[in-house]
Amino acid sequence: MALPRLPAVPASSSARPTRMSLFGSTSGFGTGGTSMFGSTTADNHNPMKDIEVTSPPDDSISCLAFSPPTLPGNFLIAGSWANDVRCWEVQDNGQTIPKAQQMHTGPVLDGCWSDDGSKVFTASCDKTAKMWDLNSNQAIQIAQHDAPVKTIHWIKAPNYSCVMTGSWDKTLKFWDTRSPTPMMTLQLPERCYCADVVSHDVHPMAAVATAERGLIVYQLENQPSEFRRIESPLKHQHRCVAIFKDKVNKPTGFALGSIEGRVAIHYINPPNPAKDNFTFKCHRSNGTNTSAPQDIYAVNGIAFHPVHGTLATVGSDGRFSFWDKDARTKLKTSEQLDQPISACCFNHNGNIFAYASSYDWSKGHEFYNPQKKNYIFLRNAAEELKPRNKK
Amino acid sequence: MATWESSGQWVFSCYSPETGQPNVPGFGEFSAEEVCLEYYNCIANSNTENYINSVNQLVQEWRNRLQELKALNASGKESLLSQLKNAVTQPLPSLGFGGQQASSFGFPSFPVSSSSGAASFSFKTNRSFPSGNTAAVGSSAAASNPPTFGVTSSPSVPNPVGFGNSSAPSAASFSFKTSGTTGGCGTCGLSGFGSSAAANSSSTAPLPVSATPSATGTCQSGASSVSAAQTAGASGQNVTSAPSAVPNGIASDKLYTPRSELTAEELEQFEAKRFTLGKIPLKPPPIDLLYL
Repeated sequence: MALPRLPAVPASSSARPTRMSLFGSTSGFGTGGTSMFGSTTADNHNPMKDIEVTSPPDDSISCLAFSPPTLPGNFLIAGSWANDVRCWEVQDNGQTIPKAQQMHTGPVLDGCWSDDGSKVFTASCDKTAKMWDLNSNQAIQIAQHDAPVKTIHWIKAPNYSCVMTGSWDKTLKFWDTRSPTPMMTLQLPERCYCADVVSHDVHPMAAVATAERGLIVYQLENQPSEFRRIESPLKHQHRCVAIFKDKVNKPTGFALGSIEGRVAIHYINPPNPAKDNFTFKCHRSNGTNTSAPQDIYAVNGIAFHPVHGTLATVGSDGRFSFWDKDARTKLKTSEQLDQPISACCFNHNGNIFAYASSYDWSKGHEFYNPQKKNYIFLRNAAEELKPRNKK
Repeated sequence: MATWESSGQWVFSCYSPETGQPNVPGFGEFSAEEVCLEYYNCIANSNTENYINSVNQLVQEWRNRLQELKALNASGKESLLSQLKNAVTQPLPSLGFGGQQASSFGFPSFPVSSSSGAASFSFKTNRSFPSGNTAAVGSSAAASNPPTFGVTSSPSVPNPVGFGNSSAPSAASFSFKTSGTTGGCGTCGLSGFGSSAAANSSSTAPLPVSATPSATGTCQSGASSVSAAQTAGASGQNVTSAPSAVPNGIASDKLYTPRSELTAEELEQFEAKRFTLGKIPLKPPPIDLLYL
């Protein structure tokens, strides 16, 4: 049953602050009193009983990102297929407060923060990227592509800073936000599907995965340049990538996820590639050992815990899992949500794991229900991601 | 292959039998986001029939291709494997498999629906819909941003698919899990720029576009060497970089770009005998450079 669209505070009996209506949500339900306390009905939208972020986007969530440590507290941004990017403050008691939002003219596919936490960069199907100044709440276009922009990352290298955008137009572009012309354009072999950057480091690097199993690593010192094209360790479509660091915090490899329920752990310069690199199956039904046909789901996102170096994966199966790549073991798998998990991220100190429950188009249009709510959940991540056998 | 059919996994994926080997040709690669965006654009244009038909067709072609591969006899398998192995030694930049494979399996060209521009569907030509840009989705909300931090004045975001509910497919529904057994070959044909074995379906663009001076079968950027061989084999048209520039062009509803809108570099490329790798313009050429 659809409630009429409410212009201001929803007239629910909740004692929550009225700020939940700041986003002007069309969902009409407001978020009532369920937000902090998980599901109140017998549905399975929040089987892990995690904290629900208030006023979630009205359409599928494509990306999540927490603010950097330079900002006090925690702020979360989420981009969605409703063309918007929203920002919440996440307080230590778990309360989430909607702060502001910005719009593109097409679905938002990616978002990230500047290193000083003053700006949010967003990438959209409208072929542009924008820079959102949070203090003034103004957003300006800073990038233009010939096709949807799929990835956006802030690069803060020792000698320069810029925004990197990856697009389905098969280019990777680097932007000084003050100029409409890119500082540099690098050709990709195919459409950019996912990317990751680690730049606050002596050896800044980017990993970009494209259609047709393309995989390229870039070094970002002095200026971006292609470092190596890598034969994909996976046999199917690339879907998500995340760089990991070694014990002295230097980027040393990446995890790559595909549509075939599998993640590859790949080191850039391992002593023994055949032994050190490996893949593991995940996000499949019926376990991985039975001979019965499995359902195989796409890995929609990978995130590394900033302190422990363990990783989280989220999949179309509606589950998240935590893994220890050094011990090569699984740490935990969640219960199954009633929709896919489309994105995930950790906050800067690894205390919070955020994941989004949204339809990811993995089964085509027939399974798309525009009425179904989208959620962002927050989970305390300090304990569950400790490595196995940590001494 | 059997797992691919029964597992319910995403079908529009490339596939390589061995890491380190190129992709098996004949599987069009699209991400969920690309397919979803097509849907949203079709909704905005009230064109969901097109989307449904096209997706069903792609799924059918995927199934066909799978059947074909399963039915390869011994010598066919050998030939495929050796061609895959040989292709490994070819130099990159193209990570896709070389185009010569396509013709050896006798792929017909993608059956292009040759109706009006708006009706012809391709995952890549949404940009050539006259009004079909992503700008149409949710565009009415584009204007206003909340003027100050935290004020509730922003209009509600129109649900981009609020009018999509009547789009229940009338055609046989497509499900990722069923295993079809229709025979015949098909390509997962899609606009050729970069997809592994696709005829360039944007050849619905009228004939003049296909006769650009650059179209000497040298569409060489990235993986589109596949599309060049494919389309050259398939239709005899030199449907290469220029028409595939149409879907990717910024001037998405134009077939030609006025000279005034081209950069000097783009103009140079169009005027040259051949395109230079990495510099192929993404806009359609000016009309006066076409030889009809």
